[in-house]
Amino acid sequence: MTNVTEFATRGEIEDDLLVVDYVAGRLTGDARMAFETQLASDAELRLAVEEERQLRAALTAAPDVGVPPATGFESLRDEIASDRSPVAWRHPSVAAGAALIAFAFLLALLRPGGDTLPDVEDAVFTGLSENPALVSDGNTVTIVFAPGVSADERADISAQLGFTLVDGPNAVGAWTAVATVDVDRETLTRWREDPRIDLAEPRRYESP
Amino acid sequence: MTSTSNDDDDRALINRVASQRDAGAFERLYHSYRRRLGPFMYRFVRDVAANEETFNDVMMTVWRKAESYNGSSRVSTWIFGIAYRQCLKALRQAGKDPGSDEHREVADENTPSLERQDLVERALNGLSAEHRLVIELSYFAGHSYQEIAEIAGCPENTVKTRVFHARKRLRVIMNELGEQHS
Repeated sequence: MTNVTEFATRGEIEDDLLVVDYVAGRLTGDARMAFETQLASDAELRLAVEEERQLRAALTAAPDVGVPPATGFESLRDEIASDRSPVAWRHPSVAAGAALIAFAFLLALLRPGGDTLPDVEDAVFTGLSENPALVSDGNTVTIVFAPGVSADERADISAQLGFTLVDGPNAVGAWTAVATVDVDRETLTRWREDPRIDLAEPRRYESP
Repeated sequence: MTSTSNDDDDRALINRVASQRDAGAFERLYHSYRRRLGPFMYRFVRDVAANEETFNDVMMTVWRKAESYNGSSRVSTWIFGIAYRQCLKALRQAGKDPGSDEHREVADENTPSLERQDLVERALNGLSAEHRLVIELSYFAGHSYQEIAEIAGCPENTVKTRVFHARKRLRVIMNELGEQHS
C-alpha cells in the first residue's frame, strides 16, 4: 500500500478541511458564502468537493457493524440494582465527606511507591484547565505519560523536565502542565524524546 | 445523531442518573449509545464478544461516574472519551498495542468478494488507530474537531492534521482496493 506521509502546511490543511466542513454542512454564514463564491469559479475546488461527497457517501453508508444486542443490558440489571443509592453531593455534610475522600485519594496518588495512572474505573473525569488563569501565561502543555509511570515518577519527571502538573488526568489520561521553563522547540523536543512521556503538546486556547 | 436536542436529551438523562440513580434513564442512555458507540468501539476492538463486553464496561463507568460529568462538553463527548480509553485498555489487555499496526486487518488480495461496503470497511481497517479515531468521530459520530481533541486528549490542530492525512490515506487505500477488485 502506498504510504501517505508528505508534508502539508497548516494553510493547506485548513483549506482542505474547509471542503470537508462544507460537504458536512458545518460551514455556515459568511464562511459558507465565501466558499461558494470561490466554488463558482474554481474547477479544482469543485472537483475536491465532488470527491469529498463521494468519500462521505461511501463512509456514512457503511452498515452498523458492531452494534451490541439490546439484550446486553440484562447483564447489567443486577449490578445497577445493587448500586442505586441516591447521590446527595449537594448536602453540606456529604460534600465535606466527599472532600475528605478526594483528599485521601490525592494522598494515595502521591504516596511513595504510589500506583500508576488511575485506570478508567478510577479516573478523575475533570475538564482540563477550566480555569482560564491556568492558561493565561502561554506555557500550558498537555502531557500524557507512558503506561506504567507512577505518581512518584510523575513528580520526578515534572521536576527534572521543568513543568508542574495542575490538572488531570482526563478521561483519556492526559494531564495539564504549566511549564516552569520556556516552551520552545528545543524544550518540546527534549520532552518528547523522554521515554517516560508519550505526548507533550502546547495548549492553545482561542478567545470565546 | 449529534443535534442539540439529542444533547439536551442526553443531559436530562445523565442528570437523572447522577441525582436519582434512575435506572430507567440509564437504560435509555444505554440503548441510545448502543448504535452510536458500538460501531465506533468495534473498529478498535475487532471482536464481537469483546466489543459487547467493553461496551458494557463503558456504560457501567457512565453509571458509576455520572455525577462527575460537569456539563462543560456534550454528553456524547464525555462518553466517547471514556469509550476510547476503555478500548485502548481492552486492546492492551488482549496483548495488542493500539499504537501499532499489529492488530489491523489489512486488505487481503485473495479475498474474492469486494462489495462496496466491504471495501470501505477494509479501507478503514487499513488506517492507523489514531487516523481511524478521527475519521470515526468526524464522519460517523459527527463530532467537531474541538470535541475530538477533548476525546483524544490532543490539540485541535493535531486533530485537523490527522483528519487531513487520514482522508488522503483513505482515498489511496480505496483506490488501490478498487483497482484490485476491477
